[in-house]
Parts: sequence; C-alpha cells; structure tokens
Amino acid sequence: MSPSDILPKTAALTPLQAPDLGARSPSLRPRRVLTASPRPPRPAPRSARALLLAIAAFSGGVFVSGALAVGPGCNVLTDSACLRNSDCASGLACVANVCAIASDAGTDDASDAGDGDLDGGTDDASDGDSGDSGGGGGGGGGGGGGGGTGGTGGTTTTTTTTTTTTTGAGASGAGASGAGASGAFGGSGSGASGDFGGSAP
Amino acid sequence: MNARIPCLAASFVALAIGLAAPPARAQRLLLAADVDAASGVEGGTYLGGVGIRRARTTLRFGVDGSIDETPENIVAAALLIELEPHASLGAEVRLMRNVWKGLTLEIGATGYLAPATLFGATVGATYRIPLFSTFSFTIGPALNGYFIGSDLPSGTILWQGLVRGGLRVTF
Repeated sequence: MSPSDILPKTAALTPLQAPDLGARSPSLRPRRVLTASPRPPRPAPRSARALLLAIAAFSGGVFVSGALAVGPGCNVLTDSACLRNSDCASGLACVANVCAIASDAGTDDASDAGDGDLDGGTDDASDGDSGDSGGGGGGGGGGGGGGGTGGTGGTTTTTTTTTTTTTGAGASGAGASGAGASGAFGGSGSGASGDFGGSAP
Repeated sequence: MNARIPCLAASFVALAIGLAAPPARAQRLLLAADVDAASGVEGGTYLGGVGIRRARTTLRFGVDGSIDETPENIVAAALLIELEPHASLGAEVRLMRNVWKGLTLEIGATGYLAPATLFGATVGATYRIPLFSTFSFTIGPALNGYFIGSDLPSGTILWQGLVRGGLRVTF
C-alpha cells in the first residue's frame, strides 16, 4: 500500500469529524447559538395592570351612575331639594323634598285659636256630655283635650251650638298658641272653667 | 386498693391519648385595614318615589379580621364619614365572604349617628387587586337601604347605589 493511497482517505475524514466535536464540547460551540434562545415576553407589571383596571372600573361606575341620574323617567332632584332631614337647616324637616317647619300635629292642633278648640270648648261646656268633645277636637289635639273635661262642665247652661268641625291641616295653622283656645274658653264664664283648666294643653 | 386501679388506668389512657395526638396549633387572627371613598346615586321612596340625586361622598375607615382556618369568612367594622354636601358620622358592621380569588361578597348593617340617626342594611361586593405584597386596591359596588332614623322623613325609605374604591393593607 502506497502513502498516496492513505492520505486522501485521511483528508476526507477530517471535515466530517469536526462538527461532531463541536457539538459535544460547549467550548467549541459558536457563541451565538447559546444566546439565540427566544425569551418569553415580559408581562406588564402587576401594579400597572391593577391600576388600569381600577380606573376603568371606577370610570364605568361613575358612567353608570350618571346615566341613571339623567335617564328618562328619573326625577332628578335639584340642589335645593331634600331627601333627608339633615339636608335642611336646623329646625326644619324634609317634607316631600322641601324643607319646611316641622309639623307635630298633636301639639299645634291642640292650640289652634279660633278653630276646633273654640267649638269643642263651647259644646263641652254647654252640653256637658263628653261626647261633644270629639267633635270639637276635630283634626286637632286641642279639641280632644277640651272634650275630656267638658263632661263635668255640664253645669252651665250656655246653649251655643256651633259645630264647626275643623279638621286636618286647617287645625294646625300658625295660630297655634294653645293657651288661647282652651284657656279662653275655660274663662268664658260658662262655669266649666275648672274642668277646662285641666284640659288646657 | 381496688379503687386505685381504674383511676390509674384512666390516667394512663389520658396520657397515651395526649401523647399520641398531634400538637395543637393555635388559631391565628388575620387582620387588615382599609380606607375607601364612595359616591353614587341615592333616592327615596315615598308614595311612588321622590326622585334621585348624587349621593353624599363618604369616606370609610375599616378593619377586618378572619381566622386562618377559615380565611374566606371575614368580619369587618368601619367608621363612616359623610363629607359633602352635608357632614355626618356613622358606622357599619359587615360579614364578608371571599368567593373567588380577590372577589368578596358582603352583607351588613350600616347607620349614621350624628347629627341625626339613620339605620339600614347594606349589600355589596369588593374586588381586591394586589398592588404590593401587603397592599391591594379595592373596588366594588354597594347598595344601601335606610329604613329608620330621625334623619328619615316620615314614610320614606332611602336607598343608595354606591361605587367604592380604596386601599387595603394586611398585617
């Protein structure tokens, strides 16, 4: 066997073995192969996403609230209207969305001058029957008070038959000074004043 | 002498049970605090309705706690401050249940004590969005209904639909 027969075979083998060595040894591997691995995209910071979501949700809530407030069929209250008593100034109460003087029907009605009290007192005093007291009282508490004592006032002979039946809001007017109604009657000379005094508010 | 035998036996049995049982672990209280602001719409019902308007802006300072064995069940209490257009001071107590991740459903009693009283019930939901390890952003709706109190006009029921947003910190 001549050397020329051997050399070409060796030269032909060398290029084939080189890639194998490179693949097994990391030091021989090209650097770009190591750094070329694709990296997953980094997600957005959690706090940023949370903030965006929060802003979106809050905006949605405000939008929905606004849409409800101006939507058709909704009675949107003006700034001057009230829903709660604390919306009104001290001493006022919210009545049908309007601030008004608080109405305590029993007390004010009882003292309304010139309405039911007058009648109630008269009837009670003159007739003496306690049944009249209810009529006089009418819508107001004052009438009721007069009636309670009217029963004993039967000693008088006054025959006033006024039967005004003031009821409801009319009895609760501003003239609710109380003492005027019942007290005056008590002293009307009907003789029932003592009893009537008991009925005064 | 014979009387001592059952006593000794019982003692040994009790000792054996005590040694064999796994060590007890104390329950741990999980506490958190939060602050949020709320506003929305409110209205009243009186003979068919009296209209709606923007609700008072309310600040809420609350604390809540749960046991580590059942962290999904939470009890919360809070101080309520209505800021504008009129100021008032109140409080509320809520039972909360964490139903999914950061989503919590809640029901409770709410009320205002000054300058006038107003008491009612509240239902709502809160979603927690973690910001940092102990901080989270909270947002959610709430529906309140007030039935009694001196602040309520006669015959009126007041309702509120609110959107709340705030911060929560766990200890």
